[in-house]
Amino acid sequence: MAGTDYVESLNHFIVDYVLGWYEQGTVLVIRASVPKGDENFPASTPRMPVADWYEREVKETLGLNPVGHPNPRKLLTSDDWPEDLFPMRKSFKNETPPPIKADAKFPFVAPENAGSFNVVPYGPYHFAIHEPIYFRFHVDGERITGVDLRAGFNYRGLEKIAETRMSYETVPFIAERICGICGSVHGEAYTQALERAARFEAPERAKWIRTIMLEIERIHSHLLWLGVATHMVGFDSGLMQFWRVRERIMFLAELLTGNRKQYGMIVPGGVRRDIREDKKEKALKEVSEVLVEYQELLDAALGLSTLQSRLKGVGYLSKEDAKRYSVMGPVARASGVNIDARRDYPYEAYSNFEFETPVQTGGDVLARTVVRAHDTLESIKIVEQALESLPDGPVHVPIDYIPPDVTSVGLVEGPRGTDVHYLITGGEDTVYRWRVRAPTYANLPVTPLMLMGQTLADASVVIGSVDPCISCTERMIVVDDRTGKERIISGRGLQEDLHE
Amino acid sequence: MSPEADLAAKAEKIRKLGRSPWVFPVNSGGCNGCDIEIVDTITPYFDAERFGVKVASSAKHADILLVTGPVTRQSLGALMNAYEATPEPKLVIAIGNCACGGGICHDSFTVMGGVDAVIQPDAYVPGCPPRPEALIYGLLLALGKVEQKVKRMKFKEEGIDETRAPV
Amino acid sequence: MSNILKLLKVGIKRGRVTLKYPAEKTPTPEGLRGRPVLDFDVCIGCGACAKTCPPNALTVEEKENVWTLRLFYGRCIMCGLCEEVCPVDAYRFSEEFELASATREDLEVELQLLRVKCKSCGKYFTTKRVLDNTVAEYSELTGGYAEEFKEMIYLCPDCRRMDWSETLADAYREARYES
Repeated sequence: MAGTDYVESLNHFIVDYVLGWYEQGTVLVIRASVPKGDENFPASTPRMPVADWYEREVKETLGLNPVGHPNPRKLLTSDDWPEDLFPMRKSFKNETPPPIKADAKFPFVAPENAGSFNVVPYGPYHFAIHEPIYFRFHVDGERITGVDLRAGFNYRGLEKIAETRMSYETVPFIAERICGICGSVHGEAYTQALERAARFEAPERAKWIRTIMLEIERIHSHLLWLGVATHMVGFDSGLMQFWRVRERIMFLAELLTGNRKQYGMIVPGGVRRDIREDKKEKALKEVSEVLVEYQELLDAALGLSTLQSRLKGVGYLSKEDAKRYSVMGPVARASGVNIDARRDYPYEAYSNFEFETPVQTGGDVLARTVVRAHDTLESIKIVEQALESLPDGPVHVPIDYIPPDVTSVGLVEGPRGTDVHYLITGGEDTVYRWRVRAPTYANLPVTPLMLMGQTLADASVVIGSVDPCISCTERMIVVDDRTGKERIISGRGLQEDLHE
Repeated sequence: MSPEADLAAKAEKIRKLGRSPWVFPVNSGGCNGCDIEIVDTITPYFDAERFGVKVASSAKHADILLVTGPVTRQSLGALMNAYEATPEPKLVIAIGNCACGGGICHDSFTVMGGVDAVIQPDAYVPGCPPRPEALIYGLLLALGKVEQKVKRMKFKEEGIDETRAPV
Repeated sequence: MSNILKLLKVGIKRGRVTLKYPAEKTPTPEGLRGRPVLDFDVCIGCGACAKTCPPNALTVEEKENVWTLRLFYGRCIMCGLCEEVCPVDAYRFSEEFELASATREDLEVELQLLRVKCKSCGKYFTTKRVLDNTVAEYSELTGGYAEEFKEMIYLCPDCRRMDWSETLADAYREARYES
């Protein structure tokens, strides 16, 4: 869901609800407008709990008030940010932030039925999590009875920077730095949205290379997670061994792109570097060796009965809850919901490769571990197929013309779920509105549900099993709503509609 | 303080730190890439534990703070709490571009700049993200065990000090 | 129990993999993104790199007769866009990644070039090297308005526009009233 400020040109704001149907492979965008002067719109959260965080974000960054929202607290901006200053409006300039006040506090709310006096803070800096996030557990002895959450430490205002200072070609560089683990996914989603707006298809070789980079990122992210998850339950050998295998993938990425992360490869029009024959041979050899090492490690590490008993039955999420809160990625697939954007919304070269999407029904942390372990095996298979069948041709073709005022959406399956980028192109080589919806944005609000009734010792691994990428979640959102007229437009037909 | 007195004070601080510095990574609002590279440094290929470096579980047990990420308004309080909780003698190292000078989001409304906007670091390690070898090099530089390789470079074209410019 | 032995066997089989850094130099792949090195003698001072740089690591300051380019390695993301847009290939990507420094000043590179005045209005408009470069490029030009072009190089963009409009107006009057 995104909001945009059209106050200067059209005297209203718009709110777009973007809905996706995986079974049919379509995207639906519902557009409403909110007039300037009466910035209220009916909240969808009471009927659709998944809209919770989106509407809170629209309220604090654009000033459009969701009437009927049960929890309209601040989400992303700092505690001392004034209530009436809306950063995503076009009238707000980056150069004039308000002064710092040192004594502001976030209003934590004790959840109902918490009923205890003991509150254990978890974060913002904790040994087990790599990013700042502040959970407050209400505990009764060792059991958790209620959870409240304060996010927003990593909010950097990147969307506003992209709208003011950057051009179409340089936005992928800032998109990659939204997250240090799944950077290319964001670069790819932005490029997909832009190329769709321009009705442009990248050359074949570029599509193959993009697929290879995305899958390499998935492999390294899942190996990272396996190491971190085993570390969270105290199995440090798992951390060391899984990251030993992962290091070879990082060397491979450095060989192909020059940098271990933030490859700087995917730009509108294609990719920036080519894969030479000798590098291709080296890459194939590396990948096949990694497969062997990974399989023997998986067999040895995940077969340990102590590890399995730590992970089994912990952090349960039912299939109904998974569907209701619209969770994505391995968390959904571990609860029996079979969604995968590579198969349902085919993009780049995925339709040319054979791969499976593993699904489990356990719904607990062990099921998520198994799903991610299988995902890695499938990714290695895709990389091998792609490297062997790399077609000839150019790797970059410049885009002739990008029409202004086109709304488009890019959907990419990242390691944590489906990443959605919503884009409205503007004139003069800049974007008008860019909204990033990372998969963790959908998965993180579900953690309080999963944490209920767990012991404090298991809290780390439950939060970790969602694989939270907090920096993806908080890049800045601005939404503008337009006054109340609703118009239903079908997703694929959206571009045609707006081209007229 | 004169530069010599500065250097002498720094050498004394490093001597007091002893042989095995414990580090604590503090992410003040970054993308997480540098934090992952910090964890990468203790994995088998790079093994920072050879140098006696251990990742502490709390800032109160740490000797060196590794700050990553630009300082956002939201995490300012938490960063200062972590800094004040670390006992003396302590070193602060700015890891990554965002901590060195604000990085790619330096002009955002919620970003105050790099670490040097609030705390003066003892070493800067640039990179996006810096390689684990570069991280080890930066750590050893802060501890005074290796020589610095980069130096400020300045070039002035001939004739710049003249007040009249040629046509 | 048997699984723990399996894990132990894996660890022993793979052995020690630690790279002996910093005692030995670690292998770096070809094409590693190290820091960009600016060639001071080649740069002409056009400013294209500063316009493109995504994190604003390259900044240009124009003051009186001095044009200053600053490169701050603390903000450089080693993307390579400066190398791509430079018209004279002044940037070369090295493979140096050991850039740690104790002070912020050591991470800066500063280049200062002379600026020149417009022949007509006296405003500083470009660097001497750009002017010399353009004069050299246009020296072979012949035919049509070649001589007028060669004179217009020494004018700032506004004066150039005025000059060109006058040239065209003169040519029109000549053509209309001669016939």
